[in-house]
Amino acid sequence: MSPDDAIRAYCAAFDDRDVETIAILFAANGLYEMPFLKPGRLVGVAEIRAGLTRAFEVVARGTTSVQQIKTLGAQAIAEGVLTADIPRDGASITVPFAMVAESGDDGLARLTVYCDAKPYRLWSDGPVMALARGAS
Amino acid sequence: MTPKEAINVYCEAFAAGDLAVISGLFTDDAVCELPLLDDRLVGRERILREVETAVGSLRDIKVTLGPIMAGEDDAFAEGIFESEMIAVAPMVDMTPRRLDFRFVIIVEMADGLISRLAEYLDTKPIKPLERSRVFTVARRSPYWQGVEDAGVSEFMVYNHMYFPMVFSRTPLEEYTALVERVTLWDVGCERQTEIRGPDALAFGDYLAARDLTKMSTGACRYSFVCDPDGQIICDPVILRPWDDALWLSHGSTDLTLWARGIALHSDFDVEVCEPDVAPLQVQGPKAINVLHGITEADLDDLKVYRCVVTRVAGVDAVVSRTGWSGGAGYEIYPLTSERAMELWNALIEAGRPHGMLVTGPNINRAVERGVTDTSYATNSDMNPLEAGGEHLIDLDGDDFIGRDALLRVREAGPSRHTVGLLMDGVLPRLEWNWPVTAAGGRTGVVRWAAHSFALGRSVASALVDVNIEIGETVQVDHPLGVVEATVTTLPFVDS
Repeated sequence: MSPDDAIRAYCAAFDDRDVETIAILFAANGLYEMPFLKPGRLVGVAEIRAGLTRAFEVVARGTTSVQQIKTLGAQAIAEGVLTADIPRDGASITVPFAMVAESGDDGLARLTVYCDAKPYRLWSDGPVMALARGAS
Repeated sequence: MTPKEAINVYCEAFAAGDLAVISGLFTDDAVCELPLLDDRLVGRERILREVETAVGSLRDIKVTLGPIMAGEDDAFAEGIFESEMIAVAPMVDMTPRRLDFRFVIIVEMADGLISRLAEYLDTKPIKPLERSRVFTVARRSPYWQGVEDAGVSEFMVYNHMYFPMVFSRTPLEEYTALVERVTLWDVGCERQTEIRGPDALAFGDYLAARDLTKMSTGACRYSFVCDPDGQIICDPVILRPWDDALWLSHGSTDLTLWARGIALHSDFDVEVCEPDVAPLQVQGPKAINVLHGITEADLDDLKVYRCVVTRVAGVDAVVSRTGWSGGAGYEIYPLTSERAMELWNALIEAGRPHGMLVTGPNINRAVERGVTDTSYATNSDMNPLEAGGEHLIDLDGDDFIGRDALLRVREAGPSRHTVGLLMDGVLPRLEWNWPVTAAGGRTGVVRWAAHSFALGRSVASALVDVNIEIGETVQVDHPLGVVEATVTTLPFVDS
């Protein structure tokens, strides 16, 4: 599969929450890097399958929209936007991303998603401790 | 220029810090989307300003690009960015602070120039949240959520509270915002010792080393509070917002306990407490612009070291024209913290058009301006004459705590004095007072040290033997070795 076709197949399967289809896109020792996953670097079909299963447990809906893909030999880069609902936050997030795919003989050798995971946290702070005395 | 050439030239020029080349790459209305910055940059001038700050924050920049995939009007590439940060002190084991990441760069072209440049990277690993040392034993400020959202990465414990000091930006970004625009600081840890009652002024005058008896309502004074041995407990800004009340806005020391204990065993008719007042500082030349539209009082009429009781964003507050930037700015003291985040959010909105950054107090600027505080003088075996504060004490007026001891110091002459040091090399983080030595067995200690952006070198403030003179060369022993320093006067930089 060409790297641009692999990106399209990955995105379609991601939207369908189809872990198995994503996992078998990768070569046996393929590398999947996704900042939202913990750990964010998964190697091999078994790790990728387990990581995505965990991810889909906390993401109610995820939709990818790829704006354009450029290809050079076995490598492709795509630019797009991910929207996702995270039940814990009760809100939808929109995350711009770039994605790099490298094809190998037996599947994706590497799929790296570049996006900023910093603004999205899965917890919030409790109330701040009361201070010493009432208002003056 | 082709899109492929544009990516190559931009990355090479960025690594070389070549602003002239970068300037020629963009259209006038180009857009830059960089996750490391808070805003989307629009326009060539804005892009150039941020690039200038970025390349000035880093040294040994290296950009390695993979294959560039180009179309007629755009190009994509994956790359690795490597650099060392300037003015972020290396660890004591000499590990330098670096900014390294992988990224994808995308350019879109119009008429041979870049009309859009986007970078994609995860800033999470390079903007770590500091949560590992947060315990309930120290209090949080009521602006906690605000500083978390602003990307705080390091706290100091100050007055038994968490004090947000370091945010996920380079020091030069914050320094530039402070000296050219405006910054917002959560200084909720800057506690007030409130003295209220008929004898408030007299009691304050007895606590502080400076004559407060002529202090009018609305006045502020910078002074020292000393112990009976004349040693500095702290150096508060004293405010008189109301006729019957003083606030001693103090550094990291239990001043309220000290004042309350003295009041309990005196004949002064006062009440002493720590009110629920968590200040903010709005510092920088555009601070007035930020406060203008949301403050009821006319701040144009508020002179330096004056304060006014007013409302900011509808929240009752005292506003003083004081601060720790060594330049223009204000402190806002909301009268309770109940509406703290409401005030914070209003300031964030008011600051947005002026490019306001949420930061901590800027140590680089403070040291080069000769501003001192807790790390320099408080609770640290130093008297006001040694600290260079003789003009801030009134030894010939009314009695105050420590006066007799300070009279003896004045008569004998202080044995040490405060000087500036122009230091060689990169400084490690100041985690203790570094020993200073000079010929003839004369000694001292470095108490503040930082990179000065104005001078482009390392500087320090030190308390040294009074016989160590301006212009002399001394040795400073810090974790990276023994380095030479030239003794000079303070401040290093005028306003």
